[in-house]
Amino acid sequence: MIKKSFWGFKKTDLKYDLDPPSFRDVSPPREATVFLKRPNKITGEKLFQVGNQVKTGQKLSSSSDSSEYVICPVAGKISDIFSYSDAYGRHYDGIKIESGGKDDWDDQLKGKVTLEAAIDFLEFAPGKFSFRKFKDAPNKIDTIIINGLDADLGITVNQGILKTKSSGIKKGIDLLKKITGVNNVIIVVPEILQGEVKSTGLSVKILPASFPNALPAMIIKNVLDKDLPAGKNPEDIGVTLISAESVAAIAFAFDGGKIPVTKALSVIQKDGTTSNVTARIGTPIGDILSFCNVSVGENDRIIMGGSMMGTATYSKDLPIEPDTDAITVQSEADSAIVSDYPCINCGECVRICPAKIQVNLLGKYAEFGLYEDTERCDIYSCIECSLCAYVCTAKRPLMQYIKLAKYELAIIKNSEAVDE
Amino acid sequence: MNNSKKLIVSHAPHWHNGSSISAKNINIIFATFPALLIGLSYYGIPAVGVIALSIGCAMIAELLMNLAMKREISISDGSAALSGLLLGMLLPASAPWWLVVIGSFLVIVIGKQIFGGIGSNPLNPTLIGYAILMISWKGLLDYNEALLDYDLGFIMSYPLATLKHFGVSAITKYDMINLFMGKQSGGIGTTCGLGLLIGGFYLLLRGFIRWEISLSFLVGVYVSAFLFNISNPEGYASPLFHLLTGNIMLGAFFLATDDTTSPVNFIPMLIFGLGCGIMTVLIRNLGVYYDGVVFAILLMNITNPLLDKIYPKAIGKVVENA
Repeated sequence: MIKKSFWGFKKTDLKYDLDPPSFRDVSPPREATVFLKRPNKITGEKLFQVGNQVKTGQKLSSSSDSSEYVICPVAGKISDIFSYSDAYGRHYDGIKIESGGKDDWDDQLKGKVTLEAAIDFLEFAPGKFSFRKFKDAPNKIDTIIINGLDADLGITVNQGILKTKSSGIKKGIDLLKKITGVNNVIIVVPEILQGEVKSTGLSVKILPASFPNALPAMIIKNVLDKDLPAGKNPEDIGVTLISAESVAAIAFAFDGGKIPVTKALSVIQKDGTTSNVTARIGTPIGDILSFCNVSVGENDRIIMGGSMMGTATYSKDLPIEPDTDAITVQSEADSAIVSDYPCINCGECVRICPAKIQVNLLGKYAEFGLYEDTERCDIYSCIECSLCAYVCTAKRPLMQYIKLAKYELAIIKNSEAVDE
Repeated sequence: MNNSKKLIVSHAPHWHNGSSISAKNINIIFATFPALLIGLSYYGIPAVGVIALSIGCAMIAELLMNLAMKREISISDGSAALSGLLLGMLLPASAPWWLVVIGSFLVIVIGKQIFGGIGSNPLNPTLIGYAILMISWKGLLDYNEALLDYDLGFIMSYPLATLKHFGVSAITKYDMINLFMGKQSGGIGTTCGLGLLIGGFYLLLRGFIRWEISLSFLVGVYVSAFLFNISNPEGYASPLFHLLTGNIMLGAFFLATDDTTSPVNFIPMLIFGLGCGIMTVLIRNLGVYYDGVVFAILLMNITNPLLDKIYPKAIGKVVENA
């Protein structure tokens, strides 16, 4: 945990890790688990059940008219289907696949290089980039920004891929341009990687290598010199962000005709050292931790993602997902403990907020359930970087208050819409 | 889910920069030591008694209020001790014990706890307590009367009282260096400008207080006193004399910078500090009180929520034009 410097008048500066270790391969798991989003209404016939044989890269969806699907990361047989809710209460069908030990590749993608094929087969690819937005976005997307940095601290996945798979990146960019028809592609990297991406021929923009500059809103501000309107997605202003890993996955998919099922991720240990690994999607966290010789003790934390924005998880049996960029293990002593102390109005949060939100007021409104008042405090401008809670003198769970307020506001909006 | 190791889950972020309310208050208490120790060395055991009693009573008052209001015991965060200490520093060494006890209870009960405890008080608790004492027991808090029995080897008449009663010509007997070094009568911890400056700089460098408030306070005092002074040099004292006397140094670094009662944005902080400084000089030069720091800060505390309405536009905020 990075503590405040002794001379506290200096601005907090959390640097990204700029030295990616090389990737090591974790062997495919004996049993892989994937989570398929459960539709609100189950229509049609269920398309898979326990005991079915599946191939590597095979697409599974709950019904023929559902657009949600998952990709089997290993070949074998479905051994269990169970219901699962994630940290935010979204419901999924957990599908366990017992590996047969050998890969038997599904070849449905072979020969297709179109946007439709990407939508049909690559939504579950590493990086979990959604190609649907090129069709569904209200405004036509005219700019693609390739992110060569990872949003959270300590993660070096995208940097590692830029360094090791530069040819894949180059191919991926060409394919991306071809299937989407978007020619304005910008790549953003930390200064140190400028040389690696020159060969792509894209316009290269340098990002300051300190948190939270790799978050979408900050990239748009830094690179396009535009403010992302409050509460809008980048797609609403015709911009989309894609990680370098997703670009490499496009190249892998269309070049080889195989759907990518291997995720690159950083494993950040208790002492802060990072190792980069590649593993099948669906590999249990425990397998990856034992591969990296990380021991987990009583009251430690396992975080899917980085220390600032990741989600703490409760079991080593849970799998890595297509958007799990890191597994961070933290000891109890290094972890933040929140308190229910009142706000003392010291203003640290206000002065550190990259979105210039009045977080002190926002936190108080959210704490006491005045969710509609949080709108006046620019809650939709929040980029969810968690810096406010990181610096809070009273150790208030500010990020949690903000997420809670956003959730409650969505419910209020929905019920208003129903009433009308 | 059958492994025996229990993991802790919580919401992001999983890091914290390690700051805490108690560390902050302990550092502020620590920063008062240079000025406080000089005051204690001048006035001896009675002053130690006043400080100890004010800190102790403030903490007991906080504890009793916690129990009465069935809230979590909050004396360990140091804010009650700090409020009590600052009250003790403002009092003269001869303050009777019952005055200190009443003052400390006023600080905690009227100043802080009836509003809901830490973070909820609209006005600086120390100053509320002190202002009530000042209005109620004028004689006991008049430094000239209170320190009549002391002879410490420097001019024992309170500089601001001398200024008020005898005019600018009478204050020529005060040497600026002596005033700065604390050789003047006043509250236990308020007289030594050098000590308060050292403590204040320590807090600024450690990031516990904001330079915007302290600096603009001092600038406000200097500029307004300077304007008075050049308009009528015979009627109004020099800005330096104002800066070095009374409670201004304590006010600029320890009282106005109180978190709860000061603004958090850049421009409001500057306005707040300037307002405190200007009001202080207005009260000193035009009002009936010798020193205006207490009332100036209390007055600006009231404006704090309004001042904080001046804030920068959030990123991506859509401004609807009327």
